[in-house]
Amino acid sequence: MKTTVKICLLALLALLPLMAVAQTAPLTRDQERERLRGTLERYGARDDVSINFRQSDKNPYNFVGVATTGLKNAQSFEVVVGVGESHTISVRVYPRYNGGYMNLNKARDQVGLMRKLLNLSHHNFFYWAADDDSDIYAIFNFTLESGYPDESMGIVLRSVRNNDQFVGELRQFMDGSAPAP
Amino acid sequence: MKRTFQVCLLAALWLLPMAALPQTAPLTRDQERERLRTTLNRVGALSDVNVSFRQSDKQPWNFVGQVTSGLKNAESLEVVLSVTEDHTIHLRVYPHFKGGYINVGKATDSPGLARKLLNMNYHTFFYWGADDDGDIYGGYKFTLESGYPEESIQIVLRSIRNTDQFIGSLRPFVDGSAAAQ
Repeated sequence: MKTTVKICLLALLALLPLMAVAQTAPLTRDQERERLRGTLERYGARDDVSINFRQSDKNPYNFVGVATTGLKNAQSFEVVVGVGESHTISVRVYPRYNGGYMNLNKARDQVGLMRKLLNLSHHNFFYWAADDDSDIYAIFNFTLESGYPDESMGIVLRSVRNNDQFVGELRQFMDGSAPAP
Repeated sequence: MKRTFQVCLLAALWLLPMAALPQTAPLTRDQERERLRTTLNRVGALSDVNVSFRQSDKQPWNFVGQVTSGLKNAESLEVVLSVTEDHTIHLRVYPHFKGGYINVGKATDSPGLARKLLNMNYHTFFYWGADDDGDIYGGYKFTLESGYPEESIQIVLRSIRNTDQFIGSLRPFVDGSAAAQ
């Protein structure tokens, strides 16, 4: 009897960590937001990210921040990180250029710009989109079915500034200017 | 002595599952491909995916498959999954329409098509890109820094057929035809 209890105890102890890990998978949207808040505070403070994220007043499932330093082509990047309704997190990077968003309708060569954006999506880590106002942005989407992707979020946040070189490639279509050297 | 042995055994058993888990994270490119091969064999056989994937002859890091049934707008969907050099898996779904790929440069309304694709990227789960030939595709990118995303890949593969409805909304721009009901 004593041996049986010991064996059961051993088996239970062996399974405990796995049970704990399994419990971390299916997060609620609120839990995902709180995990994201922690991630953004931690990675946002890094030198290669350097973005102070805050919860949006308009949409409580969004965090917003602005990257202003180390950019040669964009004036700044408005970064919106949103927790979706269906276990997704999106990182959207709106470049600010010449005092406003980059807008398809305001480009000197609209067709050239659109085709360039579609092809940049083929080559780059981020892909490009135009919202309903035709403002363009770079975006990366995560699905959370395989758990919360903390390390991947770090990689994506550290890549936000890389979009500046691609804004440089878009300048010729926006206003005919050349990328900053 | 016997008690010490029992305590050590308990500790080892308790730590064993924890020790096994971190080992799953940093896969080599070869290991990622083999994990993907297994996933594609398993998920490809599901009735709502129903795609037989095979390794590409031309590119050993690619798996290719074809969707031919249950489509109303596209003739078929050519599915390509690539394991890249930098811990990402890239899914591309090329629609076949009227005997070939849909090309952004050959569409009846090329600017309208490009604008529509960029705006669909704002609304849809897959993004749309154009390769260097101008052929368009629906895509999804996975980063593997947080581990191999088995469940997320399954979700994405089960969404492939949804691409057909979006082909319907592209038809007015491609050849002036209406979406199939």
